[in-house]
Amino acid sequence: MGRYVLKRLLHLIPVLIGVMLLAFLLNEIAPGDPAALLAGGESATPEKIAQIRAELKLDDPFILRFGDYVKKLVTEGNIGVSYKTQQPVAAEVAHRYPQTLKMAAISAVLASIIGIALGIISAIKQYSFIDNIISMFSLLGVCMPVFWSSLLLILFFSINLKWLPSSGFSTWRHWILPCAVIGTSMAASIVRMTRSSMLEVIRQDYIRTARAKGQVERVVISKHALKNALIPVVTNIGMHFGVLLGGAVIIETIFVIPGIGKYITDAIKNRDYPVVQGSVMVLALTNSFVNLGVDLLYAAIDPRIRSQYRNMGKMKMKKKKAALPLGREAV
Amino acid sequence: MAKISTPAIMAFQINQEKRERIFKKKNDSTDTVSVPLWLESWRRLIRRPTATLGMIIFLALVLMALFPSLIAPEGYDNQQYTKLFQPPNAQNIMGTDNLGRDVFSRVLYGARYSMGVGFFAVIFALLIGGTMGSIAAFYGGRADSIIMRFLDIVLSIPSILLAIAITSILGTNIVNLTIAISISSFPHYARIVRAAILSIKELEFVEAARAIGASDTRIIFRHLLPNAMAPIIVQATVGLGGAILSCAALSFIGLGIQPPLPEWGTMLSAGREYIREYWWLVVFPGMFIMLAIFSVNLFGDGLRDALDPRLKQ
Repeated sequence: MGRYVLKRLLHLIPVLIGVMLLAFLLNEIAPGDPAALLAGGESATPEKIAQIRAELKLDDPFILRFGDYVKKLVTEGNIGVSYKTQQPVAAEVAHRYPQTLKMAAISAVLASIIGIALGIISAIKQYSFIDNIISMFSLLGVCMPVFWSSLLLILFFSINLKWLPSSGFSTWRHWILPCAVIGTSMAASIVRMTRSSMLEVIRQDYIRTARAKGQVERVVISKHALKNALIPVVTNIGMHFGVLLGGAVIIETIFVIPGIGKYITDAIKNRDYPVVQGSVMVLALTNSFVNLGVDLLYAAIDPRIRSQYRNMGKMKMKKKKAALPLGREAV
Repeated sequence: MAKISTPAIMAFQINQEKRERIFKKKNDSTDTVSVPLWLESWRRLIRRPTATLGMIIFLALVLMALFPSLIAPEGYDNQQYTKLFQPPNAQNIMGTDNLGRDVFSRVLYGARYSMGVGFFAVIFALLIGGTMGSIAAFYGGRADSIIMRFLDIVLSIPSILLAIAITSILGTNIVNLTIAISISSFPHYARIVRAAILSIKELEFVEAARAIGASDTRIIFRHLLPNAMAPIIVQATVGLGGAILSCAALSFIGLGIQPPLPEWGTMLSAGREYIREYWWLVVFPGMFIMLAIFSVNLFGDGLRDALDPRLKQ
């Protein structure tokens, strides 16, 4: 198991270098000079722009700047300093990430609980009235764009009923609407996934066996069926969570929450290269960790996968041995 | 032979007839051997009421996108200062906006932009992703691992952020928006195509094609891709919903289609300012985004079931 995790962590290194390179390249081909923007736009003198370019080392060749960036990252753990505010990107990310994380975590937990429960009910009562209702609402929930449902909820709860604030993040009441919006769209997708996955499992022979030997229905569903149906559901939750951590840009914009999505979007608009590079790196890293977490969850749910992970190293050795011609030992 | 009538021989004769019949049938239909399969999937598809409903809504939206001028009572940029912010009524069934433009007409014209961008984005993404996926699957080895690592890199950046970055680099117009959406979604297509080709590339018909000297390109395009179509079509259908959504989302935050063009997301974003008093500016465009995605999802679900080999029995 530890070997598997280690292998996955090592796999991260080339991906992160690639992400860094990609972010650098995107910034490289972007039109507009950040130095001119910093110097004050149209009114800036060429001397001033040249001076800022020299300070920021913008005239160095691409490869030198990239090397410099990687060196700073590895030796000092420095992911960059914002052109605009002159603050380290890491500090700003550390300040903003908790907001995004809080929103993503609350929504994901609620959505998982509600989504899995409704999905199970829907599956065991297939084609009943309640199944039809749940299926219909989950389909609507999947199709509803989050920016539209946010506006509708604001219209209803903030403007008409005046129950909840429409923007901000200071008290728990501010979190209700954004989390409700993200939570419902995520829950809808989880319901659909759980339902179809459960339906597939319920038809299997071992479920019939469990029932035939007189197992209580509750245990059949929660132990025999659910455990086998959970893998695609967990994949779905992990995927959504990963997207939420970095991509809740629109929700953060509508509800004016200073999260990381908003930070990056603003930086892209302002051509604040280091901010874009640094925060995209952080996002790619967390995304990869979420994926790793999902894969480890698979192992926790399914003993077959667990043993697969355990045997990964051994199997490779065996394969190598088998591939070698007779009379030669594997090195 | 007719005199001998032991059961064994009778059985043999019947089997013989059956075999001849089957053989004859096979010979008759050699030219059109792939049609019945598609026809059968099609029949299975239209037998599902939800899939048919999705298809009808979708076709209606496509007609709207192609010929908005036939239905729309007014042009999309007809400003009438005598009737600003009219609530929905008999003349303007979805009301009018801050410049006195008919919301219903704008929504109709909007279908062209939202669905058009979505459609072309899926086509581009399929082209890029399909090529990469087939190369990765067909050649395997180093080509496969390089392409897969590249896809990992692109996938580890949230797609909406990638699209935002690309539109802000290229500038905001319809073509760039389409490019941005397709670049941010092509890895999914690449993965699907790769998986689909991997599952069939060891089969005998591929070997046969290679044996008669078909080139790699020919094998990929004439033999492998047509046989791997089912999952690709399903992904493209569902992906169309995602592309329409991304188009609306990017326009909503001001990086997509610019006013006065009536894209649905652009309309939502413009109506947001007036949400306190004039709800119809927000409700109707959003409803159409939802309708488009809804129809595509229903259709895609039906398509998946119709093309699923496990349900063919």
